[in-house]
Amino acid sequence: MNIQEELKSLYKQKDKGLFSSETDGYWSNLSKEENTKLLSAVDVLSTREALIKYQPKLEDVIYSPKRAAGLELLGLTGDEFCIDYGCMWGALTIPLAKRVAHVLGVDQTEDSLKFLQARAREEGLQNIDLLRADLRKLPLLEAKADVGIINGVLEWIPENGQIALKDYYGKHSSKTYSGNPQEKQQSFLKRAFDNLKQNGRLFVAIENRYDFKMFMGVKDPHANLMFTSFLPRALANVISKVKLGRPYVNWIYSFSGLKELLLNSGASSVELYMCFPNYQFPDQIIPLEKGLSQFRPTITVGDTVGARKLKRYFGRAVEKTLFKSLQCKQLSPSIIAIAYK
Amino acid sequence: MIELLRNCSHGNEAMTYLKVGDGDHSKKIIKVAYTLEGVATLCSEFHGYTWYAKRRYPSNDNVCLKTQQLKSFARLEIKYIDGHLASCTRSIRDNQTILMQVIDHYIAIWPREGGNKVPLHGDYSLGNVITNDDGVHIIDWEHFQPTGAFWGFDPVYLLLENLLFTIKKDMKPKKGDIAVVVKGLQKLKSTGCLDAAVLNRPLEFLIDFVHDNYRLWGAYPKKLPIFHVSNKVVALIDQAIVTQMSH
Repeated sequence: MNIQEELKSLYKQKDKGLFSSETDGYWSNLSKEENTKLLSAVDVLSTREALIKYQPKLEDVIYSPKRAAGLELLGLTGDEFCIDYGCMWGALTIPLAKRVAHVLGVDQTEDSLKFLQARAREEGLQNIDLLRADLRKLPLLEAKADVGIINGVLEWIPENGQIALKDYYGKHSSKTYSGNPQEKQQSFLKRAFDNLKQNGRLFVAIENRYDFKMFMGVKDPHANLMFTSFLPRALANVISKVKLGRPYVNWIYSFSGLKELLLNSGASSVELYMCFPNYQFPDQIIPLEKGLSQFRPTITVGDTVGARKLKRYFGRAVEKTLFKSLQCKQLSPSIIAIAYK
Repeated sequence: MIELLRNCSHGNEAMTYLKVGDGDHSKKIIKVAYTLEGVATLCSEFHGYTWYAKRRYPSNDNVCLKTQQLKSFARLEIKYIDGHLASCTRSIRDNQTILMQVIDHYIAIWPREGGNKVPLHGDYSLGNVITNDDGVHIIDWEHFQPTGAFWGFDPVYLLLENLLFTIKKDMKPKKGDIAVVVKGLQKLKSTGCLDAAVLNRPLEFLIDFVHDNYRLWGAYPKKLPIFHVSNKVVALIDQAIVTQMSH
C-alpha cells in the first residue's frame, strides 16, 4: 500500500492532498484570528505577499533559503519518501520536496497546513501530502519512510493543550501534565523509528542544553526563563512553577543526552553535528568529531545575545575564545543529529 | 563526513559544503540551492568552472559535476583543490608576488580575441585564489558570464580591490601601493589587449563599467568594494596611477 492509499484508509480527506484526524490541537506562532486573516489574504495574494502584508516578521522564518541547510547531511539520492513531523508552514517541507520523491508533512494546526498547501501549489510541487494529526498519536504505517524530519519539534512533544506561542511563551498559565517529558519524547521517537525503513534515518535538530549563551543569562528559548535549560530538571521545574505556574517540560539535551535518547528509542548509530549560530539559520554545521579550527564567530546583530554593538562584540569574543581557542564543542548553540535505524 | 562552510553568504542563495569521503578521504566541495535565484547562481558557477577547467585542466574533465538540476533545486559537486588560500586583506605590497602570478594566470588562460566580449569571472579577488605546487587556481565562478566584459576587467579589478583594502583606513594611497598597481597594469598593457581608455582612469572606468553592466552580476553588486569609495578618492587614485604610469 502506498502512503496516499494508506492515508485515505486511515483519515478523512479534506482536500486534495490534505488529510485530517479528529484532533483539535493547535500550535502556532500566531493566534487563530491572525491565522484566519493570513489565510483569507492567500485567496487573493501569493503566500509570500500575504505574509509580508500581515506577518512580516515571519518572512525569514518561512522563506529564508538558509533554513534548509541541514538537509544535505542526509545524503539524499532523490528517490526517498520523507515524513516531516511538525512541518508547520513548510520551511523544510518545500525544499525537501524539491529533491526527493515524496513528502508527508504532519502537523496538528490546520491553518499552517493550508498555508503550506498553497505554497506547494505556487511552487508546482505535486509530491506533498499533508496530514493534520497529533504527533504523539500517529499510527504504525505500512508505507515506511526513508527519512523522518524532526526540526525544532522534539522539545514541544511533552506539551499539551492549544498553544498560540505569542500568548504562551514566557507568560503565566497554570497547567498540569501527566508523565515524564522524556518518556513522551521517547515514545514519539520510537514511533518515528518504527515508521522508517530498515536503512532509514531521522534528522533531529534542537537547541543544546549547554549552549554557552544560556550560561551568560540568555533566556531558555522555550520557557523564556534564565538558566532552566542546564539546571537539574527538578530545580528548573520549581523555577517554572513559580514564574509561569506550570512545570518545565520543554526538555532539550546535551550532545550525549540526545545521543542516548535516540539510541534508546530505536537508533543503531547517531552522527552529531554542532550548529552555529543556531539550527534554524545555520552559518556553519560542523561534525562533533571534527575540531573547531575552522570556526568563525557567527553572532550577528539581532541574535539572542543582544542587538547592541557592545554585546555583539562581547558575544563574538566569547565565541572565539570558547570555540576557536578552547575547542569547547559541548557548548555549541544547537545540535543536529542524524540517527540511523 | 560533511560540513556546512557557508550558508547564503554575500547575498547569494546557495549553500557550500565540504564533503570528505569515508574510505579514501577524498574531498569535494558541494554547492546546493533551493530557490530560482540560487539555481541561477549555481548554473553560472557550473558554466564558469566548465569553461575554466577546459583551459586550466585540459586532461581532467571532472572538475565540476552538476548532479541534479530542477526548476528550483540544483546541486553541484566540485573537485576540492588543496593549497593555500590567498588573502585579499593583506597589503598590496605584501601581495605583490601573488598578484603578478594571478595576472599572468589571466593572461595565459583568457582568450585574447573578443575585445569587449571576453569571459567574466566577476569576483576575481585574491579571496578566490588558491595556490599550490601546480600553480594558481581560480575558484567561485558564481558571477561567470561567457561574453561579459572587456579584456582585462578581472585583473584590473583584482589590483584595485587589493589597493582599496590596503588603504581603507585613511584612503590615502602610498607611492609603493600605487607602484604595484602600475606594475600589474603595465603587464596587462604589454599584451596589447587592454583598452587604452582603461589606463587613463582605471578605477573610474571600472566603476562605470560595473554600473552600466550591473545585470552581469544578477543584481546590483553593492558588495564590491569599488562602490564604497568617494568620487574624490577615485580621482585621487586614478591621478596617482596615471602619474606613475607616465614616468
